[in-house]
Amino acid sequence: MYEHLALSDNGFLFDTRSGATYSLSRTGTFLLRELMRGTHPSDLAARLTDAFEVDLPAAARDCEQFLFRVKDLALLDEASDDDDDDPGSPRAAEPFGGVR
Amino acid sequence: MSRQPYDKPTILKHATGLANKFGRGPSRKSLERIDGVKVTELIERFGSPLFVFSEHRLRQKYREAYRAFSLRYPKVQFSWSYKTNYLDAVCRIFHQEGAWAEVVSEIEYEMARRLGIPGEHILFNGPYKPEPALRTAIAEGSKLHLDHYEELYTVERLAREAGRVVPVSIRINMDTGIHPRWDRFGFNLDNGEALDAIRRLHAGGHLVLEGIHSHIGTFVLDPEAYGRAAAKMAELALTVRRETGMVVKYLDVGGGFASRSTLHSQYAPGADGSPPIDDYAEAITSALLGAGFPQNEMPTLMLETGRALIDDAGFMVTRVVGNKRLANGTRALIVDAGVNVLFTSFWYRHDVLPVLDRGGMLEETVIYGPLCMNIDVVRPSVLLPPLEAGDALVIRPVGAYNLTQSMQFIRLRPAAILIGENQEVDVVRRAEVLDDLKGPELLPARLAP
Repeated sequence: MYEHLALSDNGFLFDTRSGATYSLSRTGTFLLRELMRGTHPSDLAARLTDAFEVDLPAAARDCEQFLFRVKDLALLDEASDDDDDDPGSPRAAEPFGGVR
Repeated sequence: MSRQPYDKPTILKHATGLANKFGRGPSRKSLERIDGVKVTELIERFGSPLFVFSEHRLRQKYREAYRAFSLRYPKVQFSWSYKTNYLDAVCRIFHQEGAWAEVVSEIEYEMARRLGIPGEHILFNGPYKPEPALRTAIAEGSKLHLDHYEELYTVERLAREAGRVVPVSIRINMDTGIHPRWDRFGFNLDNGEALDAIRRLHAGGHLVLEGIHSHIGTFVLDPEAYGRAAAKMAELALTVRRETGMVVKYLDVGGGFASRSTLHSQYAPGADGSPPIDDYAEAITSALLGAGFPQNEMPTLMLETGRALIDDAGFMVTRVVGNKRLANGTRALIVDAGVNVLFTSFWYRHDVLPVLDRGGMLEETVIYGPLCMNIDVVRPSVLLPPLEAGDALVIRPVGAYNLTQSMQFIRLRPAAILIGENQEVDVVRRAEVLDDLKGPELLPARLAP
């Protein structure tokens, strides 16, 4: 579901479908890369705390907001919006307190 | 594996639009200390929000301004514009430096007298001076600047009743080539009204003209406008000398010089775009020196500089209350200081600097104050790094008008502190308590709870 996205290691993102470009912070790049690898949203916070100096509650809060932003920017495949089982769907991020 | 330093996960969509022709890229700035004092320690001691004033900057600005004018012209007198900031501590600093007081109401007059300023060192301006205030001002010999004919007639009557000749000045307005043209204060010069008023007060026999005052605008970015004003005032003074024999002792060019603040409408930052004080001094003094006054009748040049002396010396310390993402994707911050204490946010693009920049991507951010009012916007857009609730910010320059125009609207007003030249920190206005707001009220017994 992320085939249309090209993400460089230094945080430059190109959406081949819309032509839009984005900049991501190091942690933003990390999270999007995890999503593109198929990591389930509910596992993102733990991955973030493994890699960065942040505690789990703060990581969970920031992941929730980041996922909402990714969704809001329409970077996800539209079909995934109605698919709660899709790991890329923010709706699947209920462990963080829900995004809807 | 060791963990890397953390910054908030951020994603920013690239916007295309007109390039900034100045080529100014985003710059990361933070401000950990004010005059060497840690901002976080100030918040711990005095709370947030907090007005902070720098004594060093106040004195430095005054001395720069005085030097700029006194090097070019032999007789210069500054008067501190009370309405710009009438904290006693601020006024005293300027008075210690040699400034007189410029007041625009009877309460400001009383403030100056309480601070030990004699009447003859008070310039009394403004469109409304109640009769008791005029009586006091006449009795104490203050410099009365007449604004309109009714005031002229009243002062003339009071002089007649007192059986003496009272020195007065008149305020004039004129075209100096700038817009808006301020013509609501004083007598118009260009249509002859000012000279008529002077002839009238001379003919009455109870008033004598000692000064001519003008104040052409506010945040005037064109120093030459002051040059034109000074030239016209000088010409009027010389005309009065020829026609009536009255020698004008001083010309008061008022205030309105731009500070380093930035208007919302300005493209470049005020620090780059505002003229230095020397440019104003050069324009004004050149006009006076070239006007043709006899050597022994050179008038004193009076100045009522306010904003340009104090704006840079004032800071607002505030804290982040919350983060938001607006429906259109814009990042927003809520801080604990709003337009209730930052009135000038309506006109100026203040610097907003984090006290601590933990890194992360800069993002255009709208800064909202704490009021439950849609107009409470401190900055519609400013580049800031990710910030957490509780993080401190410094907003500058806010020394001019924000404290005197602050409101007890919804929230009480915060404390103001002064950092001395040796980094001593003094509270110069305590934070308000509920009784400061509710004390003057009276509740009828039938409505008592």
